Amino acid sequence: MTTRKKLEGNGLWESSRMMLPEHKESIIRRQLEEGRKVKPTLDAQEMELIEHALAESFYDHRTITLRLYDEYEEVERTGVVTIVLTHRREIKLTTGPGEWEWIRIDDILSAGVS
Amino acid sequence: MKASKRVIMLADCQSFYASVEKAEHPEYQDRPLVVAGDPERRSGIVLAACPKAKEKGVKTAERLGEAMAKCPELVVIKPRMQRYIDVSMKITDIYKSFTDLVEPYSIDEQFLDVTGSLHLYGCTPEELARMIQNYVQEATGVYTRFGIADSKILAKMACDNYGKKSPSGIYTLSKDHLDGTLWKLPVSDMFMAGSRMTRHFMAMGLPTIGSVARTPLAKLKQMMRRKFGRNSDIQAELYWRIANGIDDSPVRPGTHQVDPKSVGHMMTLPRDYGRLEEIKVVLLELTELVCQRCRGLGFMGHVVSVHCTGADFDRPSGFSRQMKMDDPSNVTNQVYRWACRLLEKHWDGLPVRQVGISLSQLTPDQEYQLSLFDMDREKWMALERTTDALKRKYGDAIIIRAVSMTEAGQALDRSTKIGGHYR
Repeated sequence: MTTRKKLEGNGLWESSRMMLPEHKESIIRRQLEEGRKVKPTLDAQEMELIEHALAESFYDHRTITLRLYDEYEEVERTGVVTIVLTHRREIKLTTGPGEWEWIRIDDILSAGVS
Repeated sequence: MKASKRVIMLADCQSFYASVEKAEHPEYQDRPLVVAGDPERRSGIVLAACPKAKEKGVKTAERLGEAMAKCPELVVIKPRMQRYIDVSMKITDIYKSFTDLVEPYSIDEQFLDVTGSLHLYGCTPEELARMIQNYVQEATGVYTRFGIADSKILAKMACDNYGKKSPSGIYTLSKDHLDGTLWKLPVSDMFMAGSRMTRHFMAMGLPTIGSVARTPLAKLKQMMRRKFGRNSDIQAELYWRIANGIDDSPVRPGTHQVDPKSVGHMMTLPRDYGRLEEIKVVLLELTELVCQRCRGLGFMGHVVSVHCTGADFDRPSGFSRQMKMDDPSNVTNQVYRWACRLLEKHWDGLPVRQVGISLSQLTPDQEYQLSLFDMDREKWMALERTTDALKRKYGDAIIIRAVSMTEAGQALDRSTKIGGHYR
């Protein structure tokens, strides 16, 4: 059956191409690798801002949004800091009733009190 | 900014597998050479023939025996599919050094959109194509041919119909002069027009690409409806656009990253399987592969389809049936149970030459319903996580099921192949 999709976007070529699954997987893996990021070095001021925001959230129970480093794609988490483990450099971010996540302070790229 | 015309290239590698082998075996440089499947199995056909072999009348896809008869001094090389994939990716990298918009269309054909990068080289599209052609030749020993146009469809047809035949291997097809070029060609030279469709076009009184292009779309739809029924409108529009070179599809590098609609595997057996137990062995092996791939992609399937083709070419038999499982799954044993039900119900008892299985209606496997009757699921999943990791690290043959060691088993043989040919 020929469907409408062949006439739209890249449909003609996506429906007619001949790709070995192994070839396709290599291409996808390569593209993933190319998207890989190194962790940026934060300057002292940014670090201070982050610490400030974490402290504010911890003491005043304010909701904060954290941008976290990931090799492939940055992630965002929103919640309240409920525990700070200074020696392990980790915080516990409570994201909802009964839900939390341990986050390494070193992974935080920016923090903002919402 | 003035909207400028796009500059799209379709680059095609000449006799790709054979060229790769010739580059790596300089001693065969001046001899006719083919890459051919294993003669002992049914895949004993010519996959690629070098220009010297083609001169002797050897054709792609013919039986190795026939090719040898035409050209007794033929050098025959077993395919090495992984190597060809690697070289293809290397060529992609070369193209990417000229533009970031590169879309592989098959192992030996890729689209390049150089609209935005052409000015960096201060040359014409043809000169740029020549530069890329030399670069690829130097780096890999593969000769590439180029079709250049303002759309993918014209670039493709420029390459197939002119670039491959021109001494420079480069041809630009201008949309403004189609009546003096493409439209004169027989309709069989049109992209997507196979032998069956060509016959239909001839019967409709449309012998050339131009005659299809010049038929008003409404009329072409009417003509095709008469032949193929009411549902042929889209097909009519597709051919009409191809003939007129109308195609605004982008060159999309991320095109392969879409979530699959289904995951399936199929194989042609080395001999006909006539007993249920034998077919079940292959079915289990294929189920394992499909589930393994699903797990790797992070999907579970809800619908399982099983496909069998009978062995007798003249009296086609077999079936292709699907069934919805109680719950979505990617656990081999679970999926296999359902696949067996399909096989047992629909197999007609005649010898089988081809078996396939696929999973569709895919959902992410991050969360799943706990099934009351399947307490072992967690255990199975842990086991499969371990076997998958082993296979990823050491290859599919590192751990296999006991039935795969029986005479019917194909898993070991299959683990040495890609696309049915040797790795």
